[in-house]
Amino acid sequence: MYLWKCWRDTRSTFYVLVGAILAVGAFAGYVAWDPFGWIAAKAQDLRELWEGSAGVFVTMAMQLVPVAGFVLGALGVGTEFEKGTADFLLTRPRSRRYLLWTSWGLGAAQVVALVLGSVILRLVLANSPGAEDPGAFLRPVAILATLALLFYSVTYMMTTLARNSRHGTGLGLAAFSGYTGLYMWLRFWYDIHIPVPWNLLPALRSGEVFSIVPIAGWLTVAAAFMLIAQFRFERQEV
Amino acid sequence: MSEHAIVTEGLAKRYGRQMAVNGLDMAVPRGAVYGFLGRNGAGKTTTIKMLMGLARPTAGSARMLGLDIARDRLEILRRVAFVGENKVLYENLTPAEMVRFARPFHSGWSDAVADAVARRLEIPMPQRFGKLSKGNRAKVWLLLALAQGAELLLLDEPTAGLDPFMNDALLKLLADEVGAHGRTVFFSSHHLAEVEQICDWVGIVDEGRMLLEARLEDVREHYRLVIAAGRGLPAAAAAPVVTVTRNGEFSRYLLARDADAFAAGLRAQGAAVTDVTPLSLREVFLELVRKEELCTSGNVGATHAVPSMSL
Repeated sequence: MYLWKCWRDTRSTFYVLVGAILAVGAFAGYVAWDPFGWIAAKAQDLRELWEGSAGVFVTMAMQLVPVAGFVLGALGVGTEFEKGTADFLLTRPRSRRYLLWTSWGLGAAQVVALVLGSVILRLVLANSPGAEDPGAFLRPVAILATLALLFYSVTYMMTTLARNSRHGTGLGLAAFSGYTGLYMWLRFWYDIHIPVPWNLLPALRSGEVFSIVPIAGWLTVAAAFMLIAQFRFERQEV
Repeated sequence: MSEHAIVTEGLAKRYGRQMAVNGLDMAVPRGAVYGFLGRNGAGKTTTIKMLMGLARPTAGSARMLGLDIARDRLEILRRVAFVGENKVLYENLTPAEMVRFARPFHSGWSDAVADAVARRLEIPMPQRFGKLSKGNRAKVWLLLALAQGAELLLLDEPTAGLDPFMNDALLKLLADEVGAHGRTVFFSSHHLAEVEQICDWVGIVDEGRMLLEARLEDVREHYRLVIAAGRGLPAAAAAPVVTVTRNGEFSRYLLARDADAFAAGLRAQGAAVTDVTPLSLREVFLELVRKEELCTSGNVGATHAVPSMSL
């Protein structure tokens, strides 16, 4: 019921994001396998241009997938106030907690699906399905899914607090920009290191040290944001 | 089981400096069709929002179907159907999809009722809600409320935006629902004619306070306006006087009962009683919400709420 309605509300955005990944995958696959031999027939510098472009697109697609969290987070239950449908939804015999976590859960599943899709795409294009090295698959999935869920949860919370999707997105981006600015200021002027989610990215490269502790830490932070959203949502008036 | 579907005691809601609802006392009998009347901004919608858990009371308490609105919100939502003031639903869903969406929330849902209401109110079920007229949107809300099989229907201006024909059809439908299932219907309105058409109880509210709560039949049969001229006439409202307004030597008394005896008393005090007039609901309403020269209360516009009494 409510899950179905959430899917109805978010599916077009989800399809667009999946379409973007598939489009990048189709382009990169075409370049990688060159089924008609058209790229092989080109001059060396043009071949390098095609291959370089495909590599950049795939890497960008994979690393930008977490940003989808900002988009999907802005479609949460907080938008019911903006649309004027909160009085209908909140007079259904379900707890507000149920409504919030159902909506969040669907979006989180979509975020994780996008991460999985992008990582699988990259591995397929790199001709390394990961069978011989499970870490090559699991590590980027864990890192990118953590980042995506963090962005998603912050934007979801902001949308719930602001009761407006655009304001939620803006506040989510502002929160990350502000926190990153704080990190840079403390680090460069006072040599104080505070944790930032971007610190997870270097572990994407093979050979880098990978630890589950920061992953668990940032997922806990994401959950804390959602508890704040729940606290506020349960007390909001229409 | 409580004999009242809704009881509020001193219910209040403050927004900043403004008291939207100011100590509302109300008792809606089970099985009644209760018209909740008031001018725009009288506090009707805020009261309904508090009853449905969409706003938190600043003070006071309320019970619906014997359940406390602060503690038993989910159980109340299971047993009470609601039609909101704004009549907004999901723009990209059709009424048929709204039915599909709402059905699993309610254990007493009836597809047969939903189909019957859709046919009777001529609702275009395959059309997206965003494309529907204001009247059709109101009808969809009502369909969703009626199909729930709730014991109590709480309707905030359910006929807003309907043409006279559909207005009539909807009121008849409500009356039939009550007759067939013994439900309680509580609906707010500022259209007196529709209240007179189907209600058996009426509550008139202004500035967040209950001015009058009575059986409509009592209002029609016993409420009288007494106009008298003279000096030193009673200026305070005490039962059976509901309100007193004064203009020079003329005093206007709205009485809930015993108007002839009251007029005789005034004459005994030397007053010239110029009129003892039966009142329609409209006239009672206007007497109650009249602002000028009230001399009954320090709270402008407010008078003592007089509960219905058997006469």
